[in-house]
Amino acid sequence: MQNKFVSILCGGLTRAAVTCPLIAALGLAMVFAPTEETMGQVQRILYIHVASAWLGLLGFAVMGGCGLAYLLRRNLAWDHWSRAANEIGWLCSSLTLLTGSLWAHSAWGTWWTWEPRLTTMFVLWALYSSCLIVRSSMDEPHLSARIAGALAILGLLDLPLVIMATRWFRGIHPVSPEMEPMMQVTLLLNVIAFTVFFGLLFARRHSQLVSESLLHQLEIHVLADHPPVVNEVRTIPPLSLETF
Amino acid sequence: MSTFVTSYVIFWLVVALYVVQLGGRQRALLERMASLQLRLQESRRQQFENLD
Repeated sequence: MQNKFVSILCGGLTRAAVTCPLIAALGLAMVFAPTEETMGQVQRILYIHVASAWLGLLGFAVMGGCGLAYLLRRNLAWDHWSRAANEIGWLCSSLTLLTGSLWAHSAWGTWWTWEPRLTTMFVLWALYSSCLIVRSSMDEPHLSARIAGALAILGLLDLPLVIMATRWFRGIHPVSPEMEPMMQVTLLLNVIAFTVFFGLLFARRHSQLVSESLLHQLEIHVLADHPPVVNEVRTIPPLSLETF
Repeated sequence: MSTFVTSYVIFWLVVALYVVQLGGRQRALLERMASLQLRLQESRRQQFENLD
């Protein structure tokens, strides 16, 4: 009874910790942040564009780091983290390209141009996609973890290029544009709120991957007519649909 | 104005789709767990029956 109460309380607190900053960030970005003089309302895309770009880069760093840890230790626990980062990072980098494209259409009059920042970000997205394809097309977990890990480490070389593209190469992508203090606060809040929200999705996905892996092992035992002791089933982390 | 609103709508639509998909996977996982639990219980029952 007490455990159930604590579980409901923790769930409620987690939901509030994720939802409140998100609503505040959305309200600031869509309504309360001042409208930029030159670009007008379209500039508001920046708040979600920068936040998702940051998460796309962070996701790749996590995926690469965990991929490296897997290759050194050969422990699939690292691959579960890497896999979760792969999915969330791919989602965020896709959203970055999508929102960037919509912004570019208004600002530059084109949906896409092969300028350095866009090109390096596209390479990052392609690497994310390659890792996802490798993971989904191979049944042998260690083989897919090895290949995806190697690809992720290779992709880490692209991270500094994406970050520094606007400074190292000549392009048309804006470099840290001047912003009013209220705009800066809105951007910062969006980055924090998105980090918390996608961090929670990342944790949930990781938990699912661990459970799937354990279930797979148990199913193999059962199918092979060697049922494990029932206590093993209880070691699976508790999952709840309420989170969603 | 429309481009900005469209961006936000598409953005949250994509995120919502991912969350729904994650929820679907969670449900499938719970179903697999329940099915495995049943299979294990059945296996245990048969083992006890064989002992008898």
